[in-house]
Amino acid sequence: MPELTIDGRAVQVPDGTNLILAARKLGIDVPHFCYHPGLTVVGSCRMCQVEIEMGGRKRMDLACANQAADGMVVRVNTPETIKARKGVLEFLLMNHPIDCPVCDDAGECKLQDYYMVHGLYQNRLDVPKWHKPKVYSVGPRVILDAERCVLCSRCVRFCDEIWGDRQLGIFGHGSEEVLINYPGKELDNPYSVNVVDLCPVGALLEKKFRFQRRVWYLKSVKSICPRCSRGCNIYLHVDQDHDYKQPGKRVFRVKPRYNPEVNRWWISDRGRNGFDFIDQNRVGVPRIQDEEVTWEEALGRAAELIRAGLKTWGPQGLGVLVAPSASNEDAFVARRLLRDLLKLEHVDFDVPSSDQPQADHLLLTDDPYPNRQGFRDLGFGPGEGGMRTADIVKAAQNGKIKGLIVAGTDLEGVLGDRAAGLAEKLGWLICVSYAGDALWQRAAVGLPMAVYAERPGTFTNFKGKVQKFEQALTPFGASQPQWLIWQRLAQKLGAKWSYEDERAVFKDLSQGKPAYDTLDWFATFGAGPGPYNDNWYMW
Amino acid sequence: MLQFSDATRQQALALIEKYPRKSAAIIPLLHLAQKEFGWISEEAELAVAQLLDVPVVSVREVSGFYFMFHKHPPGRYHLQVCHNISCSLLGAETILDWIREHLGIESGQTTPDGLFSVERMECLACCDRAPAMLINDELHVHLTRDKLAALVEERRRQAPPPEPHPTDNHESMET
Ligand code: SF4
Repeated sequence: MPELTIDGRAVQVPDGTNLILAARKLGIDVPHFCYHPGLTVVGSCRMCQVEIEMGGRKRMDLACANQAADGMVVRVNTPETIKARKGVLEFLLMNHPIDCPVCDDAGECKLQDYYMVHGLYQNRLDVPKWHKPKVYSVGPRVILDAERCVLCSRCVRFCDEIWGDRQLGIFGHGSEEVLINYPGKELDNPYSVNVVDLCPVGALLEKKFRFQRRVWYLKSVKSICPRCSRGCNIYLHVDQDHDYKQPGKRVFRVKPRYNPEVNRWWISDRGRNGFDFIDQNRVGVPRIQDEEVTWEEALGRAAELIRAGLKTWGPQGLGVLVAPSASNEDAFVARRLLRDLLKLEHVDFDVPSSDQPQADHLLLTDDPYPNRQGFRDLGFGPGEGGMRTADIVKAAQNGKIKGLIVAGTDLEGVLGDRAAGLAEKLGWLICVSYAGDALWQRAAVGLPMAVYAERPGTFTNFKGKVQKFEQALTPFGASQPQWLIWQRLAQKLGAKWSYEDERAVFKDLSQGKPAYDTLDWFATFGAGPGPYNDNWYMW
Repeated sequence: MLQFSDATRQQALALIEKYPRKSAAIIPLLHLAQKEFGWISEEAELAVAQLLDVPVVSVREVSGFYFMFHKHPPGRYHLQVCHNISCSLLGAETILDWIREHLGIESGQTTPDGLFSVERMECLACCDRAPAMLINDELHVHLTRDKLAALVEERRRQAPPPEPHPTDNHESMET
């Protein structure tokens, strides 16, 4: 472990650590464009020049391409290094359009930040600027303004090294050099939007987020991607305070959150596009048939139906389907109510989905749900002689199951028109849902549910890793977290237990389970140890 | 799909052998392609990429970087006028002006008869004899407008009876 001095402070780092990471360990930021810890080092932007003193000799060199060595003395901020970086910035800004007021990247742009720190000088150039492609669709989800590009090649290296297909290139020479796709090729890989995070300036932007909101209005909340069983760590970027532009829109984008054990710096485009359900087609008022009612009335009615159903049809006449998009806390309380208290047999979570991801070599799995493993681990599922989903649906269609409870399922997406028919065959349907779908329309009782982003909770990914997501939004309308709906129903049906909040449920469900011990409810976990432990998705 | 002739192909394979990594042979193979096809078209890039087993994007990044690789079919006589510092200080722009006035073409263009084309070149390593220019592969230095006029006149006289332009060649190969 070499020990070196950076800006007068001693630090010890593992062998092979470069000077940017070593400085970061001390909280010192070495300005850089092309360097990114997830990509190879190219040393092309020349922004990270520092003064390196070794064996009595001083030189100016790149922090990204030099590794820490014992006895090395590094100076990040000296009049010479600052002057060198100013020079680099002046070159970069020579042909840059300086259109920050209309650029979506303003506020999270390295060029802008470094200019504020180093520059504030006047443009010394009096010849016209070069022009390059603007508002250019470089792929289905990404838009390019080549005039803003600083030619760092991060995006090129991402496609090459992480995805494995050279979809972008840097072509030409001198001032004419331009980052663009090869004719006939598109930036269309399933991870394409990662180049937007990587792009240190506003050259590559996410179409979905374009002109949606200034980034400084966004609140960043630690969350877990719910769109496949990998459980990639994300930030949800939400804004509930500036409703004038798109009323009702609260979630604006998803950004990856570094976790070396799960997703490193990346997330899939699927995950990034997967938040529309949070703000679309939501239901927020409990219903009895078509009538909007209070929670007390709805829950009372649901309890009545269940009690009567158990009496006339017995436990064999009732079925329950809960989608494993629900959290561990939801699953745990649901199990206590449905299996332990009501002794129902036909309880399952292996529900299909109409929204199948395509597994690949990077992150995506072929499971559309984020918490199937959690449901398994918590023993949620059919009792002895209980049926699985396909049989429960069949039994409901041919009248063997008369009362059906569904929670968060996508039966409409899977069954299509038959979903409505299914509801008609039943004695009653109780629907716990966030969306106003066909089943909700036909439910005897509709109980509106908060989505994962509207409450905290935990998911267990397909490898058994338990991860927490924070509450990003207040629940839509009067909707409530699923576990609370089960709990209130349980109380109406005679349960003596109750939990104060998600944390209390988690404490109970994790008792004696080593898989959960690593998780501290209050810790902002996710990021591993080391210099990457970063609150920001930008590097 | 554009194909190298067998002879060129053999030459290319021999060249590739010389390098530790195949991708290191991009420049020599681009030279071969330019000699064979007259200029570097998308198809020519593809032919090089396939021989080297590299993405075509990488070939374009190299061919696009160097002005010595023609992105358009050049004329019979390709005037490559250096416009870097020494040449510019000693009148490269007046050379380019002469070409514009007398041949009616700008950098990247070809005369309608296909005889002359012109390109602004990067440094030809002849700063000591600036301004300098290449006509195809021959170097001409200490240029003046008069000297240039003579060179052009001479080429015009020498010009063989119109032969198929490299472009026509190229297109007939494609179809
Ligand atoms: S588009 Fe962005 S990431 Fe790509 S080379 Fe330009 S500045 Fe770098």
